[in-house]
Amino acid sequence: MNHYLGIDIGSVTIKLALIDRGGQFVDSVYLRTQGKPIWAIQQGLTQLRDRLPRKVSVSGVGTTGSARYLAAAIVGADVIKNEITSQVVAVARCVPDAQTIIEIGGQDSKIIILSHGLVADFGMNTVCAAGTGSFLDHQAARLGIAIDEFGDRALRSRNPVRVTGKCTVFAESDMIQKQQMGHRTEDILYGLCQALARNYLSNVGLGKEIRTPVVFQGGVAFNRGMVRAFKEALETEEVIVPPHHEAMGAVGAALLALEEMSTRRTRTEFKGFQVSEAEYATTPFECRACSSLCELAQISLDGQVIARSGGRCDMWERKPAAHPAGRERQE
Amino acid sequence: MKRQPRIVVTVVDDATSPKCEARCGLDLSSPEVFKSTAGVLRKLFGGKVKLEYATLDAVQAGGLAEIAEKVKGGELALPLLLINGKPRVSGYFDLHLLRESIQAEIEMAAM
Repeated sequence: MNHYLGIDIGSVTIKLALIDRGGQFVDSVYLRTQGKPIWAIQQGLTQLRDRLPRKVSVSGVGTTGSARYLAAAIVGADVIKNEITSQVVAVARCVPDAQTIIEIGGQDSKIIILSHGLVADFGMNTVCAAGTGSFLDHQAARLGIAIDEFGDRALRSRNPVRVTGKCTVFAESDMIQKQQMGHRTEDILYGLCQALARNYLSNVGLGKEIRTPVVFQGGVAFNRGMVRAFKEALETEEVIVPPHHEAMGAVGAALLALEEMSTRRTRTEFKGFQVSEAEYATTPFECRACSSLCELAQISLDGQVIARSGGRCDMWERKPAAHPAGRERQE
Repeated sequence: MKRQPRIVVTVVDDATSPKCEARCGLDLSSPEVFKSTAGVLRKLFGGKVKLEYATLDAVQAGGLAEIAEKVKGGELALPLLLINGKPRVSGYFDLHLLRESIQAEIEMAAM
């Protein structure tokens, strides 16, 4: 049975999704990368393989997310795409009448405005951490609440407090002050959801024409408090959280792989699930191409460099692994 | 004949505008940072992408008056990243975000 694999790997989580040749969702895996992207890719592949029947074969692979080039080098990919493209492709299939996509991930967020199924406008968040999943994670940990409980606890709020959401530093000190004033944790949690929704709309959503139905996806859409906060802020009930919302980027990458392989006459680049058993070596090197002086990881397998990762511009990630890193270092 | 860039990236900023105190991200008002960033974009995208820096006044005078008005009205924040005249990031951005925005634009155009 032909199946298509999509991998969406970001700085906080990895999502793997498998679809069949009709483009139907089959299964997905959602894991935290824990700062170890190669380990996360291997773990994800192992978990997926263990859940699938033996007769399933992968006929195409697509990768997306900030570490998409790394994932492609490790797994062997047929198509590598930006997250916006992957998210749009998945939504076009799952929620065809969607007009706006709100996507909030671990360390970034995006808005995509659709018109007749095509992208009319898009925007991305700034470098500011306020308005991302990591910010919620951090605040949940500080309040001693498991992130899985965050949304349900927030929904129990009766009198949400106003938390400043413009900046993580101010938000945290504001929350501490609200705790000291004796506000209920539930009210602070929902106040934080409201602050995050406000911050998103006044940052990523600034100047964008948000129309309904709105699709809310990404890991943060697990948080039911955030869903309610967006409904309130947008003054609409038409905020849809699709099934497998956390893996929509991966689903889109799988759909793009399916499309790619349907027109290609060559076999997939997929190296097989056995890459989860391989032992990779990592060595650091510094890029001196610009003033950022990024320290990258050079990943080798059996003494051969197969990928480079960790730069801010993807220059090394896109280059064939055989490209001599040492020469660039001297430039 | 020299090929025209397909993607024009304009960074709009104004030294006198209110800013977040943290000042995270690229400051393209610095000639060194601008030169270095333009060099990285050249390496990544070849001649397809052109980087420009413009003050708010220059944007207003240069045919993007609507965008300048939105900034003045608080609908858009500075620094503002425009790609082919469309706002993509409103507020501070880094090299990663700049590159992802350009990549998204290229992929969207091909869809």
